[in-house]
Amino acid sequence: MIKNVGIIDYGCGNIHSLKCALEKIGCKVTFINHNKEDVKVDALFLPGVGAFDIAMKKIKSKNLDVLVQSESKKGKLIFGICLGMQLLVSEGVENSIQSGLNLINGDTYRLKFKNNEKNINIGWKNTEFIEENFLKEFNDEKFYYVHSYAVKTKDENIHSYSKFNNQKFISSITKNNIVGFQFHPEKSGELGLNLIEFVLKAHS
Amino acid sequence: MRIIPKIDIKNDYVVKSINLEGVRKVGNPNDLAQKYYHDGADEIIFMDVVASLYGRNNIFDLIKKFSKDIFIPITVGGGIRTLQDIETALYSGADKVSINSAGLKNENFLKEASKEFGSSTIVSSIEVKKIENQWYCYYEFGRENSQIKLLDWISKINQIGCAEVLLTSIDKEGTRNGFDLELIEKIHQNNFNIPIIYSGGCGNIDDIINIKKYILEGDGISLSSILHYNLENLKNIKKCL
Repeated sequence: MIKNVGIIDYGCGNIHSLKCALEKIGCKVTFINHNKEDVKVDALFLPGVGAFDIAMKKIKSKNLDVLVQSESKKGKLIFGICLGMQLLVSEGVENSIQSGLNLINGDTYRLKFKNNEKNINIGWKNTEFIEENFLKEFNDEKFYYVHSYAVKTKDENIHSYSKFNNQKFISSITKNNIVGFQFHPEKSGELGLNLIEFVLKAHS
Repeated sequence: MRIIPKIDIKNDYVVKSINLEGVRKVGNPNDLAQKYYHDGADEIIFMDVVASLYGRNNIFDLIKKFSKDIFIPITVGGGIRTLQDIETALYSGADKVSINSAGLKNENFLKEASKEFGSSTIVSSIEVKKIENQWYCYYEFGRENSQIKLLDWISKINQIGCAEVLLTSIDKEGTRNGFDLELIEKIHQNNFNIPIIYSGGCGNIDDIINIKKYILEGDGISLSSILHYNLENLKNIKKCL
């Protein structure tokens, strides 16, 4: 299993609770908040809450986009969570159009909300992993979501789907050494920890 | 429906009040938090009930301990007054912070907090009391009437962009004789797009079943007495819903 992991810290989100989750499964965690020449971790976690454009600007201002892209080229595991997953695609549309890390071809859109619905998908939702997927043992389990935007990408990049008020959306994506989860595995109980462990084992 | 145990803390003890008055010790925060986590809580809220009165934030040391073993969303509230407080809470392992007094005194604080940390990090806590057919928002643990009307304040919160509202009925809080149905109906009629966590009054499973029709996808309920006093088991509650 990959044990030496970094968390991209661009000043957004619950990075300490992610650190606790990773330590619980036996990882050694380093926060990475600037683009150092030599990154000695075997996987990079990209967390995130908030808006796509603000997050991306913060990442770019610290040159962390270049770091994630170059580590990805080296074949290191890139693990996006929530907004961090959305940042992996080519373009975001939250507040303003903003280019993403462009590691996976795709873009984002705002979920459709009717007048009498809540304008955020929050809570534990069933997650449907597609067959022949390496995460299929997590099929139909519940994970914790909190988001208003979702990603669009090609079928071949899709790990799983979930639903908000019967509206189906893509809830995890993958391409080679890159994975992204719209839900928060670090906040989804023991099951979420198992999923992180599973991915770290599969990519080692 | 999200089921969210709320643990009120005073000087390292779990306490429980009635109508936000006369807190009584009911247990150890770590024991209860662990129990609720393992019994299937969807999230947990920790509230330092005297912090906003006395300007203390000692709850963060407790959160640091909890967050090493509890892997569901943790909301921390009570006495959050500055962006630095929020950063300290997140640094201690919280995922969200709940803000009441400081937001009522200065709504710009909520705006700045949502912008800086992401709106899904900010929970607006609202404590209301009914006076002559009108609900008013209180602060400083139910002691001060802000004179701000509830429906106006929720509309404002919606615009500001907090992710959710924790709505406590002071009239029902700690009484265990059912949620504030009148209040919940009123909120329901107004079709707010912001998720609401209803708090105050739950004493048994029927109380939850009674309000089920008003709970939309994304909404939740917060439970204290019913769990702290072992009136009902969380696993059982989840099974029945």
